[in-house]
Amino acid sequence: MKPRNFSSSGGEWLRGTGPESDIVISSRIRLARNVDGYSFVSRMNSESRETLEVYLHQRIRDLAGKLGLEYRNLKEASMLDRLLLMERHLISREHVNMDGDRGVAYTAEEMVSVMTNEEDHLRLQVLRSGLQLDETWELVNDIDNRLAELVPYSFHSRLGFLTACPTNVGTGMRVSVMFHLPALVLTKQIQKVFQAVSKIHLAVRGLYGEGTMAFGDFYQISNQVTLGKSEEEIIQGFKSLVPRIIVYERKVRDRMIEDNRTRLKDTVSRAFGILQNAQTISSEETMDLLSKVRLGVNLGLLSDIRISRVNELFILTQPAHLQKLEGKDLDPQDRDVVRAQFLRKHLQN
Amino acid sequence: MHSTCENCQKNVATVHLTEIVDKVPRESHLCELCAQKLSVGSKPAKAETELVITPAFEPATEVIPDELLGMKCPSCGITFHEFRVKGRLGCSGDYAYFEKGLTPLIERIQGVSPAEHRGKVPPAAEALVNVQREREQIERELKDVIRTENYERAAQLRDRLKEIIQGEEEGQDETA
Ligand SMILES: [Zn+2]
Ligand SMILES: [Zn+2]
Repeated sequence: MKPRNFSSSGGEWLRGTGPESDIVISSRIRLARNVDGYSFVSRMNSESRETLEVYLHQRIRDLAGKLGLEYRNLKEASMLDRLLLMERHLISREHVNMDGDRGVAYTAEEMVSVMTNEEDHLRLQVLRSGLQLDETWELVNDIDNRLAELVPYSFHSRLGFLTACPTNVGTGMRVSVMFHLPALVLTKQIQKVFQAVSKIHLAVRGLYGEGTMAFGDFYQISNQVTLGKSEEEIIQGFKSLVPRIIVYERKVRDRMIEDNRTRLKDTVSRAFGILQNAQTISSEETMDLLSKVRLGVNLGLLSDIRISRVNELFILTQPAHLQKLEGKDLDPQDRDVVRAQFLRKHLQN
Repeated sequence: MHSTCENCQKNVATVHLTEIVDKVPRESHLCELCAQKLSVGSKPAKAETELVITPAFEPATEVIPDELLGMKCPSCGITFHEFRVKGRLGCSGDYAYFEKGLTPLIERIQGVSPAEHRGKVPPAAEALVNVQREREQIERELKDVIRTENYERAAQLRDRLKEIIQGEEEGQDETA
């Protein structure tokens, strides 16, 4: 297959076109499914992994025409290409690092991705810009229904969809909403959000999911419970919580502008200035400064850059993207220089 | 994503915590045993450190008998002990085979009792699930009508239950 030029643009979810996208970056739903008659992936030998990968690849190809999915074998892909797919949220970190036959199919818009032989035989994911939980569910549910006609799923009449880890059993559904909450972080009120979230059994994670730090003021909120509630009920939980977080962040942003517009404009303009001029810059500092720029653009304090560009830069300045751009492996120091070059080029007036 | 326990560097980390220290979130990933040993989650948060996420697995309270830990799935070969260490099951049959050990665990981590799926059902399983749900519904109603001494209704329900059980047995014969 011919991949799009990953080094110059991001997927649909980065376009910043969805509802509430000044605060909600993306809505994501993934479904874990297994195929009846096969052991779970961690207990499969390499032959049965290969058999299943071929089997699933064929079924996905039957769907592909309608959905425009392109399939990529990850056993054959280089480590760099796998990391690139992870940085774009098309595959998980586990999928990058594991061995054996496995693959991913994704659409040109990168809205849909279907992983094979990950922790579960199938992981269906839909990722959309802004707060679009119903639309996201509708699409992933439709893909799931179509696949269910082609693949016999492991299903238990009492426990629902059976998954390798009992934390996913039942619906197999993980909903994640990614927020950008710079004002709550700056004013040290983010803890209150965490407390509200943990009370209703949702988890907070960083930009790259479980076990990652929340750089760039990005926070992902995901459901912990997958059993005993319908998919719609799980989504309903988000619908009652998410608007409260949005209102909270927006109120704090407005207060910051009222209190000291000049100082805030100074902060975001300096951040932009450093990104435009740095000669070497780490990933952490880039995310931190881009976060301030993003806040500045959303508040009308900076007008020299589009929000979609800022969103993309968070992803395009990640290590694998920079190495793909340069066409070679780079050690962290070289990466920081290339990152600064890349930012200067893309942030010229 | 399964990471390795930071404390023992051996087991799969199933307890994920985020602490906020000077506005910087700091994550820790521990296995169930180490989390219990370090008793995270039960300690009240210190002033400068705020515990913000409840563990994915609440600390285990159920006692697992040795004979259960040694049970080995005839289909994939995993033992219940191996599952407890790795955090992942070997095949879909394990849910039935290890039911005794899994049910309390699932109810604890999912926070539901009884553990019952209420979400979508794939078309292939629809008929089976509908029958099963009807059967449970009838069994519940039967208890009620017997208590209220409504014997006429009880007889109706028993007839329907007999039909369902017969249907299930025939279904099994077909697949056998
Ligand atoms: Zn440990
Ligand atoms: Zn098994």
